[in-house]
Amino acid sequence: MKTKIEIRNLNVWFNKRQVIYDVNLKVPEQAITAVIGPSGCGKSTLLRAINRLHDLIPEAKVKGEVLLDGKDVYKEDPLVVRRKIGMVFQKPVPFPSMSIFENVAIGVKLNDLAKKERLEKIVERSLRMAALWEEVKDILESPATSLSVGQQQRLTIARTLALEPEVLLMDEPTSALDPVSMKKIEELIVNLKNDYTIVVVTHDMRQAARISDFTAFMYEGKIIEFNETSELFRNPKEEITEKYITGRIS
Amino acid sequence: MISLRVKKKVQNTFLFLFAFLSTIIAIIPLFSIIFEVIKNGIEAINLDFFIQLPGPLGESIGGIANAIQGTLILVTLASIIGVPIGVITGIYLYEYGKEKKSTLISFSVDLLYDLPSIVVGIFVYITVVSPMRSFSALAGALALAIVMIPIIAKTTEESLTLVPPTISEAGIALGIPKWKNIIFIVLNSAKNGVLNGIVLAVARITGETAPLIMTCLGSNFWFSGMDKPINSLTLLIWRYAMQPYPSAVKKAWGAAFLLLLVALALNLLVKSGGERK
Repeated sequence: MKTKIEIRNLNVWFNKRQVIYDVNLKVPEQAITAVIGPSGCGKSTLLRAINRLHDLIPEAKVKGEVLLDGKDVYKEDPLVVRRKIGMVFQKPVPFPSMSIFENVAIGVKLNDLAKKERLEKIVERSLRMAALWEEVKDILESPATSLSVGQQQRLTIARTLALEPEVLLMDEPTSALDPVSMKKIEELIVNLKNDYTIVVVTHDMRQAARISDFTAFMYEGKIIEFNETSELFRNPKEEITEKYITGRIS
Repeated sequence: MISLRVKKKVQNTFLFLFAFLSTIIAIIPLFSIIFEVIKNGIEAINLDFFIQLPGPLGESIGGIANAIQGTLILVTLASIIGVPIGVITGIYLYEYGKEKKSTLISFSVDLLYDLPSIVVGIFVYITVVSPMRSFSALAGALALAIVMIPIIAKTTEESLTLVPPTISEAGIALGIPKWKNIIFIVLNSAKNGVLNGIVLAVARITGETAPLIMTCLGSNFWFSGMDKPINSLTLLIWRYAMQPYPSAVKKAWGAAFLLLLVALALNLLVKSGGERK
């Protein structure tokens, strides 16, 4: 399988505290890669390093390389990198003062990527891909905050898809949701892998086992083990991985 | 046991009565002012009051049309100058206010916020009126804009601070450039608060008198140019209320009534804006 993202010797510090230690990881194209590990192990920090969200935090320092199709994202324009590598956050954050339509269109609009006539098509296509179109097609002008939390999360996925990214990063995308919404998002993620490379951070091991093709186990800022999901859960090579997946550390 | 419960009940009742009476005492002056203004002001209101010039002092004819016109011009011009500067300053404070290099700026805004408005009047008198050798509408509007800027800057900053950081982050994650993200995502999410701040600032300067005394002086005629003196509702009240002629005092009450209505309307606007959220 082709590698879409290659992380090489990545280290991240917040002030003097090191959070990520020498991480190396090859994320395969058009597959779902899950990153699991106990809370505080650096999963989200790793994810945010991929689309350069740490640039915003003055205390954060990143060293190492993140190659997207062989090119280091830290040597490219961060705005272009973030358009290519979309991000879905833990809590759904629709823009509160905008309608459903505007929420999906805003990224394309503010990046001057499409003319007005094309916007409607882009919005419809994105909402369809996020499995939300049928529920909202008649209420596109309603405020986004009128949607349920699960719908809001699918809306933020649609908002990210509107920019036609190549990679989707998801930071515990279902942990704020009820079981029904969670199932919907999981189905959606599995469908999306035909077109996108997906990295999902999750603290829910069963979720990783259900949806992912590959799994990386992180512990105390390091990647302990990376393998095909079925293999990692069935035959963990490291003792600490085994301890984690059998629930002996959390 | 019972005595303890009785004691608590007595304490409770006593404190409640004390709080209730304090509130009554606090609102008596407010309501008596409103009552007096309405009682005396309503008599002054008729069609001429809105469309006529004041005419010679002591005459019972005429109205306060030029003061209404003047207040509208001054407040509009002050807002044109003050609103953009205030909002942009607020954005700056939100984005960079916590950094060391902007301590001076955020401190200055605080200071300006607390500055007595008469000092603003003196400042504009020295820097604008004196060199131009004339009281002017422009000087008045400048003084009001200076009063307005720190109010809008601070309310804008506060409203922006209330927007969850995750919203700004979500915008950045969409590859939106920083300045567009601040204006179209963060400011847009805070727009109710920012608009409320602007309305409150407009309400405040509509009622300002001190900075106008030293900058646009007042006038008995229609607006005749930005470089000429201009009348305003507050200036008219200030001058006419001290006159010995009952007709002048009546016009002052009428103008006060009008200002009260404007203040009420603007505050209701803010309130309905707050509920829209």
